[in-house]
Amino acid sequence: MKRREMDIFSFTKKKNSFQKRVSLFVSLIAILALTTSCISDSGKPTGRVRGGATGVNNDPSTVAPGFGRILEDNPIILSGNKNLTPDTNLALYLTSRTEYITDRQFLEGECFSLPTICFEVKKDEPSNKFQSPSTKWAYPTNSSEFLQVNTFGHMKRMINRYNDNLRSIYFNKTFSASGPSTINYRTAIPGTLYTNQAHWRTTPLVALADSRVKDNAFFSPATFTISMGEDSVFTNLKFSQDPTVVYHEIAHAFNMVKMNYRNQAAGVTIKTDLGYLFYDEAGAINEGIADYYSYLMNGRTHFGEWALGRFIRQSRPLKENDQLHAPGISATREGRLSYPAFLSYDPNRPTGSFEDIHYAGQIISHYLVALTEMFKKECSMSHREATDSVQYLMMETLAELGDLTSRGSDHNATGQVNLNANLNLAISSLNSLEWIRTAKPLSYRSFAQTIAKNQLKIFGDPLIPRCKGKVIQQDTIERLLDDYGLLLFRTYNTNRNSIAGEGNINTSISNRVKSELVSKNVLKLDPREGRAQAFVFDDRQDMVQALESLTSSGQITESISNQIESDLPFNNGNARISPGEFVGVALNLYNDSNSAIAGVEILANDWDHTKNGKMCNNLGDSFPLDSEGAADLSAGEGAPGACDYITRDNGREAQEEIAPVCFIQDITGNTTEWVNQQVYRTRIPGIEPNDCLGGDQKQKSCFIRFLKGVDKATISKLNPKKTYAETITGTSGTAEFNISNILFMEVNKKTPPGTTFNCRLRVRFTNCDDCWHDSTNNNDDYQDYEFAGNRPFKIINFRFTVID
Amino acid sequence: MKKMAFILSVIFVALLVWRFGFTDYFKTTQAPDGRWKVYEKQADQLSKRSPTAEEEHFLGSMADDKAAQPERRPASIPTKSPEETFEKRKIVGTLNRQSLDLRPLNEPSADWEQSLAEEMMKFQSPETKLFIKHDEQIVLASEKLYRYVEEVTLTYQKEDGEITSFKAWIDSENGQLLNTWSRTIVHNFRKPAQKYRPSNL
Repeated sequence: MKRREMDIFSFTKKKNSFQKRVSLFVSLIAILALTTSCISDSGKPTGRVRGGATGVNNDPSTVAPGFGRILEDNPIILSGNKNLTPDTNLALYLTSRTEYITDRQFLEGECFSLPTICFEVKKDEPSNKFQSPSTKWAYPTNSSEFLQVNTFGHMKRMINRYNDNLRSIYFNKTFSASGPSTINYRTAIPGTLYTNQAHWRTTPLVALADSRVKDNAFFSPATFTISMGEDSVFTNLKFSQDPTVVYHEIAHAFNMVKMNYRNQAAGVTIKTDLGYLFYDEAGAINEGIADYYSYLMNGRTHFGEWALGRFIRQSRPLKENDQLHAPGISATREGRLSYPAFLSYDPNRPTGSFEDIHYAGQIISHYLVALTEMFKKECSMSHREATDSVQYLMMETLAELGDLTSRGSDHNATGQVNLNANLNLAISSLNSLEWIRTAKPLSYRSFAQTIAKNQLKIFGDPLIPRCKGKVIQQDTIERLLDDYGLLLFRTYNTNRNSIAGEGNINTSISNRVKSELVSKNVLKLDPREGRAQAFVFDDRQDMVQALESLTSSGQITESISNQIESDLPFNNGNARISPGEFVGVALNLYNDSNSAIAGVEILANDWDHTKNGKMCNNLGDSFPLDSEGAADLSAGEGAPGACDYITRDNGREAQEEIAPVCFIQDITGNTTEWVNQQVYRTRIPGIEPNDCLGGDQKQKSCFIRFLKGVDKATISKLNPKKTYAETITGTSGTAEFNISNILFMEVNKKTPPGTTFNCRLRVRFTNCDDCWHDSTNNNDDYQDYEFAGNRPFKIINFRFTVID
Repeated sequence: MKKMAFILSVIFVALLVWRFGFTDYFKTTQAPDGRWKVYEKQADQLSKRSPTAEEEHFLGSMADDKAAQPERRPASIPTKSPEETFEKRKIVGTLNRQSLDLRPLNEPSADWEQSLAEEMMKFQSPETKLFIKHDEQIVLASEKLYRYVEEVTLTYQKEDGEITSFKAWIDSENGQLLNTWSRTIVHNFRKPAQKYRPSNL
């Protein structure tokens, strides 16, 4: 018995021992697998080696006609090695799987409903479009041909995806195929989207895949071209080796097209841009959306690991749980990358503070990723469905915000968005452009408000539940925006420029916890003792460089005066404003509150502040005194032409006028009078109308003129109790300004020394509680025409004397 | 002899008429050709030329590309209606052709492009090239008033290879800039942005 027990015991013991060995073996294998799947620092590729030691033989003989091979992602991701060398053999990261490229002999692609080629790829050297008579698109990975095929392959994926989504939206979601629209929301997508080829451009999108321009990639709307250059130090590193960069640049093209759906459909020649200055919030939104498209295409929450991250340390995360982010940032209500705190945050240099649209755009990219995850969770959507839904929202949002026809929807009358009452589309589109560019540009506020409104009406409508049978709740929409500090509005402005109480009901918000709104009164010239009110830039070399940049970028939109000579001989760098100079001015603005304010704008464009050529002094700044030549308020008020009546047509109506900001102090004996420049000229002997900066047609800006295009300056953020210089220190720690922080003006050579000017500038900021909506009118947004006047702004009078 | 003198006089008069009559007529109403012209500074002078083959390939011949493509579209999508024209120019806005007070605010000049180039190159370094493509002739109209305008595409190529482009409306008489749009979005990865220090800091 005992023996049997012992036998049994022995067998059990053996069995246990065997199990233990098997378990140990399996555990070892598992540990080995886990460690080898992590990105290594060893310098040796530890990811899946796909084609053996030398990689896939990417020869034309290995593919069928019409097919080729592309990199599925950037080399860092495919190799699993974040220390990849620039001369790495990319063939190691190809697979034997082939991709359909094209049956044409050139890298050309078609799109739905376009009679011509929709997109194409070139090398960008003195060569013709690259031709493959066999239509076999497999080439060595170190060749320019491979770069072009790689670019084309990813371009095709992305453009096909965009067109499929747009077609589905147009035919299934916004318009009924059986006749008049049966949708229950006023879509911004125009009915003639395809008829008038407004879904794309009339010329193909050209990608220059192997441009030799160093450290440079760009999108050119004028020529509808994207270009991918190479690293200047490691010239084997080509940006088109990184599909995320290709996606980013194409996304800029998408944004341009979306902004102009309605303009193209209506035949409006001029087009809107998403961003006009070196730094503005529209440009930051553009960059954030462009980053997001990388996630849309590949599902990863990081962008540019190879092209930007490997050697330049400028790759960007797209979600808060990314390893690159600073501690404390998390995908929680408290830890989100929120506005405005993270506007100047570079995850690669988290202790610094930088004014750059790419860093500021991260708030948008992170929000859009979070929005996608919300769709996945709330609507049980796949990645494809959820990102298509976000793209749908962006199409609606940008089409409305970029509309120069001023309707916002085919279902609206004119004058609902971006001004305009003028029935002449040519004139009204110029007014709308002025609004989008200067008077009421896209901002984090308007983008958040419009995308929220679209979420509510498209996915929050119980009549046509587009959230897979469910409805997105208003609270959900608002909480997510608030997490990002973007709940910057008090209503959804569903009634646009209609008067509140008429037409559409305007929905109020109710979930603001984190987003901060601050009164405009906190923004002032630095009141502290010994501080400059403004900074003057008149160094000759600097201003020549500024003019070179402003001219070649197309930012200045009117001709510079003939009086301003090419080498700026009158610029003397003495920090004073002198006759004949081309001068930059930056107000030394101070945030006198305990909250950060952002999206600060300083406007020097013409506005409605005069009556019969004299300044109105009932606009909040009590300037000038009645005895100093202020407009007569005793009669005619309440009607066009009056001080309390704001022009509806940007000064084009009879009796209405808009005037330049700068007036002149004319002292005669004991009398001081503030007069406009045209009047002053008549009082100075020897100065003829033709001697004015803009000639005899522009006498109201005879002596001082802020050029169009540079008559607005921006500041990304002002921290509490700080000025710009104290908020954005940059790498040097000293006060340096970007070109977009500066207003630029011309000074007439014949300006009498000693002449004193007062320029009536208007300032505002994005998270302002009394710049965008009217608390006396149920918090309804100000109607667009109000932005030609004083109410949405704080007036700051900038006074200076011209010296010899 | 008299006969010879008469023939020579006729020829001379005909040449004068050609030079100052028809030639000027064709100059002021020259239609856009869709070709790029290159402007460069040479010894403080602005020179104009056609692009080299290399430059042409770089810029692309979009007019040629368009002409090469056959017109194809789905049958279900109707074609766009033709645009209204006035003096062979596309009308932007509303023009009341029946108005007796119809009058232009400017007169087209053959020199508009040269004036534009001079202004746009004024502050550029000598190594910079400017490419101008004349896209369209326009009349900007508001009932009885109208203005002759040229639509162009401007492209700058800097010495370091950086390219910027934008579209613009130009006054047909004096070549002055009226508006710009569709500006290039440039990403410079290693090059830091230009910073400015005030003179009073």
